[in-house]
Amino acid sequence: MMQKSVSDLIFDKFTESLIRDDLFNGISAVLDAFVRVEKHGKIELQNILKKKQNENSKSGN
Amino acid sequence: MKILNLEIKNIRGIKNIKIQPDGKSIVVFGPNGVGKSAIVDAVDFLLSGQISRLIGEGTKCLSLKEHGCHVDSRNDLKNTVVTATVEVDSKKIVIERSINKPSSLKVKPEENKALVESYLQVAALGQHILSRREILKYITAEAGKRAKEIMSLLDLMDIENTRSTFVTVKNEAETSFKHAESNFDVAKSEVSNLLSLTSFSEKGALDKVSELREVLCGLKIAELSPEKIKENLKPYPFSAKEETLTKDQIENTVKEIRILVQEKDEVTKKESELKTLLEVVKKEAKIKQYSLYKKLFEAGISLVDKSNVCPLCGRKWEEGDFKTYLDGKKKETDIAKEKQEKIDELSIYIKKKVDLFKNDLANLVKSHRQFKLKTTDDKELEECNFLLDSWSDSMDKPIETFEVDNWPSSSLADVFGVSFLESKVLVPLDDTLKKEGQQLSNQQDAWDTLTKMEDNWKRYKDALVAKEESGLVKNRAASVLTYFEKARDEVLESIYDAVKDNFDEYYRTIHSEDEQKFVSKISHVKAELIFEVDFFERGMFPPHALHSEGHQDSMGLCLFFALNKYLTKDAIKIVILDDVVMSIDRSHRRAVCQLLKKFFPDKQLIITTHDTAWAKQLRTEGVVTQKNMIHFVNWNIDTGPIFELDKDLWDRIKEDLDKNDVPSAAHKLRRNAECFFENICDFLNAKISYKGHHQWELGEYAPAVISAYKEYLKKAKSNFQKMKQQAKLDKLSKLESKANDIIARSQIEQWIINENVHYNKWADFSKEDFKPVVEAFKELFALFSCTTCGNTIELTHSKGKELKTIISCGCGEIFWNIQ
Repeated sequence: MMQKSVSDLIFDKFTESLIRDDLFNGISAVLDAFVRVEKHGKIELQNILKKKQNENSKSGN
Repeated sequence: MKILNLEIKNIRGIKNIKIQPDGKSIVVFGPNGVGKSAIVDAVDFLLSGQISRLIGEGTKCLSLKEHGCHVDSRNDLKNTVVTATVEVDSKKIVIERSINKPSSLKVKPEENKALVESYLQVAALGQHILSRREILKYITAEAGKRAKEIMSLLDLMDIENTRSTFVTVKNEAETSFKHAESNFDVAKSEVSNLLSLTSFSEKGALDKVSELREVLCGLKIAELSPEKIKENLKPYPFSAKEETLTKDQIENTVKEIRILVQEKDEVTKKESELKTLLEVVKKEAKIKQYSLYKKLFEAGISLVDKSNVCPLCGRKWEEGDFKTYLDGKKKETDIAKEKQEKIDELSIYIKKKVDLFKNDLANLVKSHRQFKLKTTDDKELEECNFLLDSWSDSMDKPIETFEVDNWPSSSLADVFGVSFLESKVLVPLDDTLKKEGQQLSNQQDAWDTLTKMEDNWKRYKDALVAKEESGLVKNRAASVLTYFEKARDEVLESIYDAVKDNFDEYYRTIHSEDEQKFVSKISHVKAELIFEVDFFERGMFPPHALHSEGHQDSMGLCLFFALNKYLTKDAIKIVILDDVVMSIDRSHRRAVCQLLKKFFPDKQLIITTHDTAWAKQLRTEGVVTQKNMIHFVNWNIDTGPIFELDKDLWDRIKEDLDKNDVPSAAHKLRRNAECFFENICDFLNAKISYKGHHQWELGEYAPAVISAYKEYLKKAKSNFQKMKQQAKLDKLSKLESKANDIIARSQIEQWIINENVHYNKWADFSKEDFKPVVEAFKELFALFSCTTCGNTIELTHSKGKELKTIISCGCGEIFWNIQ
């Protein structure tokens, strides 16, 4: 009976779009993790968006 | 998950009750105030750890511990317990929950705890229970509220929080970008003034620097950087000090500040527009809230967690209330969004002009010192700089500054039109430049300009990087929000499509006679959930606009089942319907029964009603069995509900006859027979003479039914004969003979001609005379029911190429073509 929640379905689609957009090269994985946690800090999000495109390549896509 | 047996102790109006549904549907019926809904509450509590009735709007003063238990058990919560044996994945498991520890579920055997809890996660959504109070919440609700209800059901409140954070970050990124753009423009202007460029371009700056290098016998350079500007140049012996300005720089600055002064009227106009907007914001409480507290609310929403504790004051809120409060406040603030955007636009424009003016004035004062001019008054300059600083700072937070009456004391017209500027600053400089300008050699001038350029170019590059970084964040923040909303909308639309299709099918099943072409539309537009339904092919309307209350009830029921199907994914078989068909008429209630049987044969329905006719209809339609009809007769505070499992009619009549109480037995037979034949009349489309007062009795129902039955039997036989189906014909002939015998014994056909056998005389019969009548009626009732499925027979019209009129039961065992 395990099934994906509606939230997870939304997150999956969201991440698909991020991966397809060069604007998010290197930060899509971090953003994906960001939306899936319970609390969402504004500062944390701002820091993620400020990351340079190659800054997160190790953990990125 | 289904309930096999259930024990309730000290919950709501119940003291102690044990019932054994065996995984089958039950109907709990009886008058108001006998504790029926306490059964619903107890099952709800067992499955979800809460009682839906005690949460939500208007329940702030209610609590589970205080009001979920029996009123006499408030100090003995350990004994407020619901225990059930449930069937999960073919396993029999005992689960138990007490109001003393509502979040703790006891499971035996304990090894099944994880399994049970995974099922109960679905129950936590609360979509297994529908009450009369809630039935219209999806139908009559405002679009925004409906969206909230549905989002709450889909567990999407966290999604809304995330979106809210994205909106905040996007808005802030846009404002930061505007500031970065303004700083960049100031930096460009400084380079242009220094190099006397009519319009700024990097190529133009590079060419000008190369020209100046050539004056100093240097080579052209291919790219501009602070390190390259004076690379390989021989230091000019009389180089100017760093703080001095070149002649061109001074001249350009003079030119620029005069242009700014000319723009005074435009700047003043913007100031006036800004002030008018700020006045409105200050007066309107709600707009003020948006402007001052918007960020606070947004931050608050993003910080609310399941503990429901305010992150600022630490106050514990009732479940859901805190977030609802913040959401409401934030929504109020949205009304001023347009004004906020205009305020941002105006303040950024003014700040840019003020900063340019401030920068130019500072450079001109520096030039005065460079030329040792003494025409300026330090006090005047100090006052002017103070005003410029004040305006620049105010434009960073215009609403906050205006709100606390900290607005600059002089208008921008006064600042830009300051009287000493022309006479004491600009004219003396013009004169000095005319005199002294010639004294500066070309080389000196070139060297000084390049020295300044090193610094200015660095500032320009820094401003460019800041602008680009800020632009990247702005674009990312906008795209993140767009992608997130797109993902949300696509997923929700697909869910709503699935829910809509089921909803339409369910509703058409209930209203097959009048709304066969019914369709609905469920769509998500921003924060609203639009729900519209077709009204007799005349267009789409809100569900409560034109449809009757009964139709709205059907819609609520169908939407509940459509959502239930999507959300519970059949994990929770239990569906609780608490008094939900009150506005639906008898014939449509029958259609509701058909809906339940057709689409939810495997669900365990727990139905409560105060309408005995509906309870009995559920039985005659085969939704519940006789065994699972629980009749709540009475209630008192000490014992709780007094109930009986609804006994079989014939057993109750027998009990009366055993006590030699013929009048009671006769009364029961007549009352039940009247109800029974009224239903069969309806099912068989039997003809009764019309009466204006719409009241018929057994003497009219029963003969009409018998007459119709005989006619259908005759037609069915004729058809079997035509089709040469001898076996079926023989079977019907046998049935006909048996029916004739039963009908004769019931004496229904003699009622009209012989007063002495009329049912009105039953009460005067002796026990021995009445017994054969009872037997005959028992067999008579059975004639209209299928021995296999237990359902009563019914006349229907089949669909297909050939229209057929059929008498059939629920399982198809009885199937007579009577066309």
